[in-house]
Amino acid sequence: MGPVHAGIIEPGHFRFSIVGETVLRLEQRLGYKHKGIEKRFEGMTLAEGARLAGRVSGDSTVAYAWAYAMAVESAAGVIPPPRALWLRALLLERERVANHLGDLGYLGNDAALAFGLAQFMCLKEDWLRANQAVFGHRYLMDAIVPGGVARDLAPDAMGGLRYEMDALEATVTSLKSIYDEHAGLQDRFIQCGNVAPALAARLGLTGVAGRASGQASDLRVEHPSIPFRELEVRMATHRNGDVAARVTVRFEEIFESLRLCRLILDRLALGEPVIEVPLPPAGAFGVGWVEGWRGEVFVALETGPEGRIRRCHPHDPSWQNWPLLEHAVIGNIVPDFPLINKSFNLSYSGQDL
Amino acid sequence: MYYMLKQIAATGIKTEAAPQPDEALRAVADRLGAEVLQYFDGALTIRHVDAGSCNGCELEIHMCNNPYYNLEGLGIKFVASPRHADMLLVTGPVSRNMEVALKRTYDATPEPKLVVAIGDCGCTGGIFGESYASCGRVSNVIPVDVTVPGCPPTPLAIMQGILTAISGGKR
Repeated sequence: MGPVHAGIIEPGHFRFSIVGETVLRLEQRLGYKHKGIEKRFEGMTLAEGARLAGRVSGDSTVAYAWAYAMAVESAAGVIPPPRALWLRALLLERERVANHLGDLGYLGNDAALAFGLAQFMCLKEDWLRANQAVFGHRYLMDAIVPGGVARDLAPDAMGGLRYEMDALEATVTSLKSIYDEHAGLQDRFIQCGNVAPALAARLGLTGVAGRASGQASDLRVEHPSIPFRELEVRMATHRNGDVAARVTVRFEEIFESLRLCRLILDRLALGEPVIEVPLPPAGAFGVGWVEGWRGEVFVALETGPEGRIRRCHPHDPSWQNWPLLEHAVIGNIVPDFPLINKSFNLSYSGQDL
Repeated sequence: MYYMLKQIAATGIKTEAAPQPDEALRAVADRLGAEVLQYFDGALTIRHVDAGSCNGCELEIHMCNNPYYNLEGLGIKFVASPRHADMLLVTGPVSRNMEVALKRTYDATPEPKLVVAIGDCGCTGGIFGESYASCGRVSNVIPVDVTVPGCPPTPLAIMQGILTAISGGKR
């Protein structure tokens, strides 16, 4: 199948070996979206690079922009003001919530519960509209720049954000109980697309999918940067490694992100949201490492003359997780593949660069 | 079941008014005759092709189908095969590796057909531009009728582009 698929999805070629309905083997052929991002970085100014980094994988734009900004700041030897770091965390958690809402809707839909899709898409749309109103972009693209954040949070917008989070939490709580109680849905979710913790550990499954397969790893907990150090993130984990586990982890992460967003609004530092970043000397190195909604996003940067980029490598968690999808579908039926694929929801663009 | 019905009733009808066509988006003047377009009007099938986007545009195309925008309520739906489609909705700069696939998809779409390029990358090549791995804008590879700029364009802008393509300069 593919690269052009039957749906609104990125291109990739999937070769299935099947016996009747059962999948014996899946071979993924990716690379269709390779558009030379790393080459494109070369010679860019640091500001242009921030825009490109935010477009490595559009659904993780905040994570990439933060990781890139972190790399630039470490190369230049500056630390952004506290208010900038707290606002970045707020943006990152909002991105996590938006993506998890969308995934939970599509997971319901792929198991033939269109009700779930309609409900979660309404919630996501409300959430994106708030992003547009408060931060100026539905997906928060270009909100994070080297040195801080491009747009400060207006004090009078905080009440609205709090109100919105309370409403969202109430609705997601009732939708979770509907999902949990729905026999048809759980029948499709449970024991579907299994990745045992031992296999996950051997092949380095990371991010949401990793945490659903017993890999208790989250940068916000293990290597907390400011402000996560103070927020004491509670990691969501599960050991079953099936679609149901990945759904549960997503629900738990939404609730945890809402808790973090509230704490951030309560404790948000005052001061400047952005500082000037001095041009780093040629040959300076910097790295950035951020727990995006899908998993850990890593950016390595080397500067050239006149504050331009010599080399930049963005690394997507999908790169580690794609091989696990080949294992997860073995022994499942073909119609469950979309469900399993969605429960991982890996980026093609981030993998192909 | 009771809780689902209760939730549906509490949500109510969210659908908002559809946007009007915008002639400024048209790249090619009236490629299809007005009599052909009247067949499209009110029942259009779309094949989406991601030719190399960052997946931001895909997020917004998905959102066109949410209850707020309810694209399907206008008689416009996404189909699984180009052979069933009247329109190709193409995103991204066209990567070299997708060039052949995009051309084949275009050839597989029966005439009369429309092409709408979505997003800054589809319109101009955007931040990825033209390189060893990227052919740039969609019109470098297949003929384009309407372009919708934006990074990513909002669902309303995407719907406006689709409606412009099928309005054929009538409205």
